[in-house]
Amino acid sequence: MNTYAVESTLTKAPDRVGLSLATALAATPHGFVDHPVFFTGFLARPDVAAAGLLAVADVAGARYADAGLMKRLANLDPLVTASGDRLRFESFSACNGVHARFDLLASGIEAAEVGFGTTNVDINQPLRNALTRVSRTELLHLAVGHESLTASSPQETHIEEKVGLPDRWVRGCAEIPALTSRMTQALTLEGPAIAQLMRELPSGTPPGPVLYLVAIGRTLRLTPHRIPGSIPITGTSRLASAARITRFATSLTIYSGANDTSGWVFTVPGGRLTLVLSAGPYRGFSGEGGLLILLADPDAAESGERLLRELCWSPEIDPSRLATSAGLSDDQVHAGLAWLSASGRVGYDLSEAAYFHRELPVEADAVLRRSPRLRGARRLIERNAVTTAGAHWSVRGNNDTYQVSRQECSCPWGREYKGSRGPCKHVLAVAILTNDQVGVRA
Amino acid sequence: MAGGRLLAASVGVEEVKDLVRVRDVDRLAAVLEWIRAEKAPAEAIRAWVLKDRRFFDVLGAREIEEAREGGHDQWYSCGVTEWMRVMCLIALCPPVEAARAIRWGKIIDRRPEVWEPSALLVEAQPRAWVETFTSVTSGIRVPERGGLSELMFLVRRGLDAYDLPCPDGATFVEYHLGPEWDPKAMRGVLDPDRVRADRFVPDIVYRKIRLGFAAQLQDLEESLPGLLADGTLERAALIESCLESLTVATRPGSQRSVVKLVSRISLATEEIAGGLPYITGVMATRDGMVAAYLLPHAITLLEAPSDLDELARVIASRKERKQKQVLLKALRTPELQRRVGLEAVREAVDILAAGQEDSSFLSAIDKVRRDLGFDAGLESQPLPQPLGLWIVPTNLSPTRDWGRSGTYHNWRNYLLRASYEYPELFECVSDGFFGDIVREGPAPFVAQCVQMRRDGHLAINRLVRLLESGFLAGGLSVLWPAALMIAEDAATAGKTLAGMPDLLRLLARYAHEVPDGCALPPHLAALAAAPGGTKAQMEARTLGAALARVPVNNFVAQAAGVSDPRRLRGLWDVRARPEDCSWIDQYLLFGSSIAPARWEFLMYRFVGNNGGPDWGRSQILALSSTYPAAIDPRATLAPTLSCMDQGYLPLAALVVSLGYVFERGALRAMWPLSVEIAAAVCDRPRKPNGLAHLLNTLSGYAHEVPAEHRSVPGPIAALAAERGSSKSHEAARKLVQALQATEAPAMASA
Repeated sequence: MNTYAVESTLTKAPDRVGLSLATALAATPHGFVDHPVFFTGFLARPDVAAAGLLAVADVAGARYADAGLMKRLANLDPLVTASGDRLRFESFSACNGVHARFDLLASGIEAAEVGFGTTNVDINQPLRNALTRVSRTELLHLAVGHESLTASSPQETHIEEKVGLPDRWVRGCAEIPALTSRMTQALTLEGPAIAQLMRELPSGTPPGPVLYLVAIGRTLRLTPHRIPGSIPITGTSRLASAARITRFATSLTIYSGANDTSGWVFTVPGGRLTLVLSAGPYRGFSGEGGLLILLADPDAAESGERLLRELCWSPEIDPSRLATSAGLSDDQVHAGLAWLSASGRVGYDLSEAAYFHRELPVEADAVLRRSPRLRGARRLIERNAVTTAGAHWSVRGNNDTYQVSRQECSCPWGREYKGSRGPCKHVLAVAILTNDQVGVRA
Repeated sequence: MAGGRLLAASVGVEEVKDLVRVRDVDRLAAVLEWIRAEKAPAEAIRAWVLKDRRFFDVLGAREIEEAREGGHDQWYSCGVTEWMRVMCLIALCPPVEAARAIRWGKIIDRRPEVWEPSALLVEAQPRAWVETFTSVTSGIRVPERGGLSELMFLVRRGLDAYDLPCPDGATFVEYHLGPEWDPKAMRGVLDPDRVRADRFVPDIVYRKIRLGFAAQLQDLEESLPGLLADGTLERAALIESCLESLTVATRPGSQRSVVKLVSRISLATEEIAGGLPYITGVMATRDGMVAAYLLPHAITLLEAPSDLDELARVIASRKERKQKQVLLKALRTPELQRRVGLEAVREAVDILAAGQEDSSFLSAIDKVRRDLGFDAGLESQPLPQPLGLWIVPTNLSPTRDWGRSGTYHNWRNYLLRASYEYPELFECVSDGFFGDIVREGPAPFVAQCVQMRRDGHLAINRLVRLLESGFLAGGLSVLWPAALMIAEDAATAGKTLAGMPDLLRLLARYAHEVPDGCALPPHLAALAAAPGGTKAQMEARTLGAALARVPVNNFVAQAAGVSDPRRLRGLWDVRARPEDCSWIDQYLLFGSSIAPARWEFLMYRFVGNNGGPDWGRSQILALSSTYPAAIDPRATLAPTLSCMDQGYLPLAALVVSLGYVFERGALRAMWPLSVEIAAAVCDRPRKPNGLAHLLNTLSGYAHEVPAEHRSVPGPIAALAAERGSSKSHEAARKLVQALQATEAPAMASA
């Protein structure tokens, strides 16, 4: 069972504060390792780092779309990725409609050793309480992983707390990079304008109203109607966790993406907080399925596998360098990176417009291939339900026979969403059968 | 254990099933006790109980059916079957498995004697088992339909059996201290004696606060100092619980309760563990009342420029204006300036001013800047350039189908002050509004708003929201002039309406988009030019300056030259229209004089009691039209004051109705009584709420009254002559001035 060996703690000594984050099973360059040490060193702005960590933990503990389950608050632990020069803490809300990532950059780290790998870190309630009291002037020593564990007896320190990395997080981690990599920068605010915007956002019962942000002269206004050039905010209360860090923010860059998704990057001294909002207040990333068709593409898989050997836990992946080192064309590199992101093996940094390598500490492939739509597609193939019908494909479903042409299907799902939530199982079945990639690489 | 011995050789699943079928609770208890005592193998029974839930469902349904046949009074006595399952789980399963397998929502039997065997089985378990069982069970969420009392009953019996401490489970913490049979009813049940007697106090109190149930402790607020004094609660632990609860996302109501608790015990700044980092973190993320409470503590703790910078950013990102004012006031103190430095104060002022549109707050900022010798901020800002919203409609056009107003969710109902606001339906409301504007033009909308304003029903804050969504959707050129007309109409009211500054601010925000040549209409210009610095006046000046394309200070000088906007509308000679009148109440008139008791009832109805004000208003209009002399203050004043003394005639409502009938032809008939009411109220030692409103309204109509009817009653003159600067004093002076004015206003043009 994947558990923590100790609890995360924040201890105060006269000369310094020690923040020790407990790690669980981790994916590292050496394979899966229990309770590794990823980081040990001092932080430049302890208060900012504590606030960033709390913002990510807030998202992990929030359910913005309440389907009558408000009382069953999830309280999952964030993931941390160490990339040699930086740490990235990330989490999803319980409704899977908000993704938060706090990047502790090299400029926010003083005198430290940063390792490589990804794992969960324990953010318990006493630790949250202690983190709210970290001041700017204190000397904070951060340890991600517990060095003394090797010397202590496992029986004495073992904490029977199950570490959760649910399937929907894994699917969300796969969706986010592809979604954010297609976003475009819409607006940048600096200084007090950030506070002004946060002040204008209606608070209240999550997820809050869907509003559109528009700049009128020197001010920003919110309107319920879509206006050309406006930025959608799909659920204003879903940005609530940013309140933890707004007071430190020096700039806010807003990105907008397909289907009203948006990315909010708050730059703080020594770090960045990125919040990504899903296409609607009641839509989760895990259910989008936009990348399922990639997983069925053997060419992209082959490119991806070749690229994987070159990634080396890089914090910023340079596609052109990768193309040279792996001997692949630019198209193959892009298809390979898309496949890797669909497999949960790379993340995407909006500010740097670059992928970064991150392996999840679970069998991500297996989780993604357990997707109900993919399984349904495979069942259709096993039942020989897919047949050619001239220029179209005919797929015999449970209740009816549907016509599939390229990535369009005549099933009720296909008619309703028209591909905005990824392909249906009939399209996937055809794609698996024919390895049809038209439209994917376009 | 004779029963146990008898069954010793043959106890198995079928035997237990038979006992459940015949609902023999006692015999089942004996069997389970025997299994426990003899450590007899019972794995098969355990597996069956866990797996075969259908068996219990079928028997439970049959039980309910039998109870129904037995009559309604029998409903609470069914459910033995499910309790027997609970007994089996407790006796045969490990504690965690037992706690999770109990189906609390299916337990409906309310007879204590049926609960008792399960409680005895819990008590018979070893201490470690009970400890785990109570710990897990105390945190189980129970379905809405029931099972809570039963859960609390079993947990308490287990805890009492071994004198175990208060468990951490949220369910137990939330509902302990509630009534036994209705744990959810937490109001009015807590008294200090009960709290002192409870064995889980003080831990349960601290845990309630930590887990976000502080609102349940409101009964204890008054007695908190006493509980601390006698040692029932410990001050440090209580404060730590309160501070810790503010670091997690609890309900706003709970956060406010925590603030009340710490206010009650006079929390000192040095008792806040974590100091300024803790306070700024909490202020940034929690309810406005929490932030307002912590702000003075934060100001006390400011030491470095970076502290002030952080605090100013937190306050600037919050909506509440009051907190900005508090911080701004603190920035003026030399003591704080000495602590953090003048440069940090200047930066904090800039942070607070950024993006602010509130003219009165910006004026206060400007004053601070001037007093501290900083560069003036407002005048130095360049005038904004138009974005072209006026000439390039984006969406609002006849070609787009905006839909129609709904039956209930339409803009008319949305703008009613008393209607409930459905935030999620705002888009639907505004869509219908645009549709109506596109089809009918803005005239009906303006007329409706004017009518609602005169009736006292217009919610201006909602109007602002609706208008701005229209401006941004491309309707600026249509709706901005309409909004200006509504604002002009609102400026004719005797007092500043709630939300009026917001409406003027909205107009000013988009004024730079309006083509050159537009100016303030007369009443708004007069509002801007009048002496004083109310919010509405300052917003009117900002609007005027934006339209005149000049800085605000320059505009003020221009506005001072605006002539008196009062125009004689001839209301004194207007007679009520027949369609506004109703048949006069047959009991109201005694020949040609008023029946006092019936007049009192008429006043009761005049302000909207018992079904709205329409009947009362139409009666007054009918009387003023046909028997104006009947409304003689000598007969009507006493019953009016009697109605007021009984609490049925609030001045605020009376003013609205008076305004309504004055506008429709009852000014001549109702003026003497209105002045006498004002005089009588002014004469009282304790001035009621709304007096200033009444006096201001009368001032607004005084110029319509012929000079021979404009005598100043003694009490009003006395109030005006008193030293004082309250709203009532100011309003009395204004009224006296208006009544004594000799210069007749010009006649309004048609």
